[in-house]
Amino acid sequence: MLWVIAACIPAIITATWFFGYGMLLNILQCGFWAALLETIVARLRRQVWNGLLRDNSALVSAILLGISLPPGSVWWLVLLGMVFALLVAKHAFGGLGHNPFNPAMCGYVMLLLSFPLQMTAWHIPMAEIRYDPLFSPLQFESLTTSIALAFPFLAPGPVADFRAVADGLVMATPLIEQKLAGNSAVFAALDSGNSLFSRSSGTGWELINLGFLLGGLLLLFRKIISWHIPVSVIAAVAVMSILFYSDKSMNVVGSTYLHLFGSATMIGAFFIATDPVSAATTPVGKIVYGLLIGGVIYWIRVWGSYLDAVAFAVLVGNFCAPLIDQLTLPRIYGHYRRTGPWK
Amino acid sequence: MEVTTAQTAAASGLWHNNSVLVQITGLSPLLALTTTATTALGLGLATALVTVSACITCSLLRAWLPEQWRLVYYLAIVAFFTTVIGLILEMSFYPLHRQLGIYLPLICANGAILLRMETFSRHHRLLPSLQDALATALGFLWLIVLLGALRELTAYGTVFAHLDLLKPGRVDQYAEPGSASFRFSVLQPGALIILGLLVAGLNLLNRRRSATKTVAAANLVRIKRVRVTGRP
Repeated sequence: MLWVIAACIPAIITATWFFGYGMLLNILQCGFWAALLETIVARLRRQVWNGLLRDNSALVSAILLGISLPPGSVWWLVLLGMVFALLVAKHAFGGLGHNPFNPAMCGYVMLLLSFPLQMTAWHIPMAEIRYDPLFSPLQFESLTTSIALAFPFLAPGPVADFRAVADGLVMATPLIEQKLAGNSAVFAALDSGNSLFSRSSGTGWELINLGFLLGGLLLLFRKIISWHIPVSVIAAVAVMSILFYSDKSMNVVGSTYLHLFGSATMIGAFFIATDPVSAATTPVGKIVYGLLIGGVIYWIRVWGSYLDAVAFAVLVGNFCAPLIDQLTLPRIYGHYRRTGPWK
Repeated sequence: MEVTTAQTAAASGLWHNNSVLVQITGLSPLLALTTTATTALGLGLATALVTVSACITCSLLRAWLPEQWRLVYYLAIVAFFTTVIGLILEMSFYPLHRQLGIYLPLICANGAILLRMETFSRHHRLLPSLQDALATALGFLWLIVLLGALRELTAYGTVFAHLDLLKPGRVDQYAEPGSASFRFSVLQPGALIILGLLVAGLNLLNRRRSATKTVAAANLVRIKRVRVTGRP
């Protein structure tokens, strides 16, 4: 599990560079709450106090949820998400190994359904509105802004409601402004000579996705995940977006590149859908599971009312995983035919 | 102490055999209408009235109910009382009637009522049937009100905020609840999860109570390992 955390690091660094300290603060908060909640649960279950922390799975859930939350989220939002993810989605079902759904995505979906306004406001501490080339997004001023947004009671003065400051601090995700992101912002930046890492060139989301791709390849290389799920998720999204692509409707349904790199597809394919507990386990089943998730991702993005759909798609996949496993039982070694209800 | 049949029926309906907590029946109105405690109370009272009157009627008519067609007769009896209650509500309690919507007619498809008629009322005389129906109805009522209060408290921060809905009156006197601060508990998944937590609480209480009695016996029971993976 520590390798999963290590694989997240490139994307976390990129995200922190583009969205400021709020991202790091989210992840730290999630980790803290996860440790606290797991200790409480260990106490309730009469185990050693760190018995549930040793496998680091709660930390992975915390990091995944922390990356998914908008930077600058208030502390109670983070706490609520972690409570739902760990206590309701994991421990109420019997703890690690018994949870039918991905805990981090359960927490995310619960927050998205309950607080749609807070969950879609991506704060950018004071940087997006200033195009000063000398301005560093990681300077001290933006750290204080992030802390004040996350812990309003620590702020020296009254914190403006985030809805009041939203106009200055919000950047839409690429799926919202897909008209602009139909072409690669990375290539556009290279063509126009802008720095790839300057925040004004709008390459943030693509670089974050490349970071997740890098981390995912590391996981594949370390044989922590198998290739079936990520490849089939990405293939399904790519095929769907090629199938429904046309020049005229691109502004509506988005291009293939946008669907792969301008959204949450990479973290979904490599880090979330591959959760070993809630995913399908047979080789054929993993491919079916991945195709289902990829298809639902595209389906909800284009024909649904939510902007990004990785969390919902993963939950749908988790729903179907036991049935998929049942239907795709492999031939047991030593038997001539497949066993199971559908021989 | 002598335990009377009335006490047994009450304990069964209110707790041990509660139609929601234990039998998990009649969930669709339960989940749809418990967004506020007031609508929950309204629906609970309407369901209670239908349950009691339908069970009494079933008990009185039990000699004439044909064996093969009894389900049709049950549905006819329940539908009759549901229609009567619905008309009364529409006439005198129009705001409440409008809030209950389609779930008021749906009382006649409530599995809990049919279950009581099938398993109890058609075999028993008037008085035991009345006790049983009252216990079942009150068991449904306290649970639906508790669920409604919990959901309203977590979603809006109030309990019984629109109680004047239960008074006879015009519809324009009633203010819709505003936007919820915690929308999850207004949605159906939230209701299911709160209900699940209530059931877990009930099981915990029952286990605590029985554990104190049978702690010595439990130590003697050898645990049989069951193979849980793969096909048996």
